[in-house]
Amino acid sequence: MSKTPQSAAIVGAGADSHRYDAIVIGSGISGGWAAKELCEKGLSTLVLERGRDVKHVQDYPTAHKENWEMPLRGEMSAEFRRENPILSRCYAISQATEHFFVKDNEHPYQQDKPFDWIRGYQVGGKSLMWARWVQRWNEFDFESNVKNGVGIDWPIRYEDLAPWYSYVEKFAGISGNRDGLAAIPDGEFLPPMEMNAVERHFKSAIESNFPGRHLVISRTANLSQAHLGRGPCLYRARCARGCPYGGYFSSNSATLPAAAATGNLTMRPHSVVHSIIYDPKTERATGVRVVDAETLEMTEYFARIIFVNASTLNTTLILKNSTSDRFPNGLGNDSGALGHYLMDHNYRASLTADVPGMEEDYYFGRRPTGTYLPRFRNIFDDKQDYVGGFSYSVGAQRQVGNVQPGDTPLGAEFKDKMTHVGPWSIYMGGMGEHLPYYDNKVSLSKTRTDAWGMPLLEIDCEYKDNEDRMVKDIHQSGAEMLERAGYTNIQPRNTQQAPGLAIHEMGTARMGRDPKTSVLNGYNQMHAVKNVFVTDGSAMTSSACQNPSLTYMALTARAVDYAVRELNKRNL
Amino acid sequence: MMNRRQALQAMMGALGLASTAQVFGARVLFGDVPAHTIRPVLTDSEVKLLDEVAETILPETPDSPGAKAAKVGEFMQEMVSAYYDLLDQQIFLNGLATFQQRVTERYSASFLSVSASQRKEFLLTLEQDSDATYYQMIKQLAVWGYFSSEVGVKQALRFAPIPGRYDGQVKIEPGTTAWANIGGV
Repeated sequence: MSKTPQSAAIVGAGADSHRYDAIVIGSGISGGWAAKELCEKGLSTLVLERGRDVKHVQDYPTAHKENWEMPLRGEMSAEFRRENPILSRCYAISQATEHFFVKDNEHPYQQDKPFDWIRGYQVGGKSLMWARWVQRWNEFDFESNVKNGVGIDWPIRYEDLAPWYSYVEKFAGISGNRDGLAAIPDGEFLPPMEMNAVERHFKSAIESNFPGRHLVISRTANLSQAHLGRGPCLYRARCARGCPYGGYFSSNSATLPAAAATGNLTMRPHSVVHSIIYDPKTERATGVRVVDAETLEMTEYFARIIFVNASTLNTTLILKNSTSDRFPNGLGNDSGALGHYLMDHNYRASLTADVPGMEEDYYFGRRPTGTYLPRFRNIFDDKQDYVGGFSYSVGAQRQVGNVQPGDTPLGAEFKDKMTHVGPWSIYMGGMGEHLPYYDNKVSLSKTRTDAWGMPLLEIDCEYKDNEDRMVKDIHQSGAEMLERAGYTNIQPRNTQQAPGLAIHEMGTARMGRDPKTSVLNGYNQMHAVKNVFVTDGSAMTSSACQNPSLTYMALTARAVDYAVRELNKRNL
Repeated sequence: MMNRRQALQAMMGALGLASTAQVFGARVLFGDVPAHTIRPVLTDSEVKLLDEVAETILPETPDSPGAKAAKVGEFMQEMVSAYYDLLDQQIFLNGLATFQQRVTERYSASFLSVSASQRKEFLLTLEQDSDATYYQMIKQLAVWGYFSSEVGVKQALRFAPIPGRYDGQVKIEPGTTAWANIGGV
């Protein structure tokens, strides 16, 4: 093992006990992958997680609770909503999940403009509560910036990532159908979940009336059959509580156990990474400074390579806080791009409609996913008056209760009708691209620190005119499809929600070919500090419109493969 | 679990609303404005009254127990005390007083002492009164509380705690009992 400079506080035998081959900062969806890949390649790996430990199954306390067994039937109290206005806006917060979410006052930040920062500080991070939709990016997505003159070009193309998509899909377990669509390339799928009758009807209406538009079952990280000792999914749709059957992919159910099985994993919860230690002589990072979340004691750990997977904004915070004479503005930040180009997806626009008839059609089970209408705007030959694309999440369901206007509104007959299967309705949620703007940014407070002595993040981010135009098209295009399908009472809705609430924040340490305009190269390796890799959402050069986690997983596995090859060639 | 949106959706028919969109996004009752709450805010006799009002809306039938058996009054106590924000609490509490006053004016007796048909008759009057927001609140809570209770889920609806599969091609007859929507996110 190479010699690294030692902390004044930790020398000799103490330093050796704090030395690993690799350090991974964060144990969420990308950190879990980094840990698994590094451990399986034989590297002793320390995973630093700022939150508590969450053991698969045993730490899912609400997994089997019915709603009548929880306070307020699972809803959050007025007091909680008052104390947590940000978190209360998150769709996934309930009495069944709240223990996995950071409360507003536990980790404050400054909003220069409204930004809802939703966080999960525990082993597994947000991989416990994620939405599990995993469409691949396509060839066009990696070229869209350069073709549209937006931001900078991606340093990689689809073919660079395709084998790694396959690699992570095979392990994670993805249910999906091979639809043969260029906008969402097919992957390594377990059997698809079914569409229901209205979704099949809508698919047929769209595909016969709108060439180039399709509706498919979402590719989803829920196991439609048992896979590598996990699952199968039992269709309870209680995923975000943690699944006692391992029915969906999370760090806790999948990557961290695989990492631990090698004997190479050391997991250290309650470890808030303060900064990365840089050695100007070797031009390498030597380790990290860690604040114990409970005792506030600072210690240091050393390694030959460091993977930063703390989630986009906390990764950015750590890098910006890692200052030295060489890097006064943050580690690897020669370009000045670090902290800029913050993106979140544009989830403000949705539509609902009533679906007449189809009264003989129903379903059984609670499918933990929906259907997906892939991007058809500004892709391939399509050109609109805005840049970027959007997709829709689409779901149809039948109401519980079949009371019609004119029916007796109370009493025995009313109660009886309230137990019947009711009419169908359909929902379309737009999932739009957010362009990388220099002035959508985060910086560190010069005056205020958090409970662990870290500067508070100041977030300054907004949707702009391009995203507003896209909202209009999401409404118009959605309405024309619903109308053509014969659905009625079409209602567009704009939540006006602030960025952050899509929980797809990304882009603040972007990849690129040119060190003058980007932080990371085509292998997620810091241009300026070759043994530091960043493979969470902060690495993203554009946002496309797919749910991003699968791409983070693929980038991570690919980066580890590269890093270990470089390490073995003694280049790191 | 049946969350707020699902509860509202389930009640669309009950409220005579024609579409999901009328309740999605409408700040009907379940407010976004957080405020301080005190608990409990209802007296025991008010809880008992609400049990009876809910039972009138959702009575015991040969098929399933009614709202009282599902302890809907207790549910309302919990929700009004801790889930409602201050504004909704005030509307509800003032409305409950108005409710009792109007019963007395009409029947010279309390709701608990009038006959079942008078109870129903009175509530039907409130159904027609678009100003009686408090009645809509009571009715929403009754429906929500009942159909999210163990009694409602297991005995009035169909209960599948662990479905084990998803079938998207089920054929049914009119009037088929719905599966309780007891998933979470």
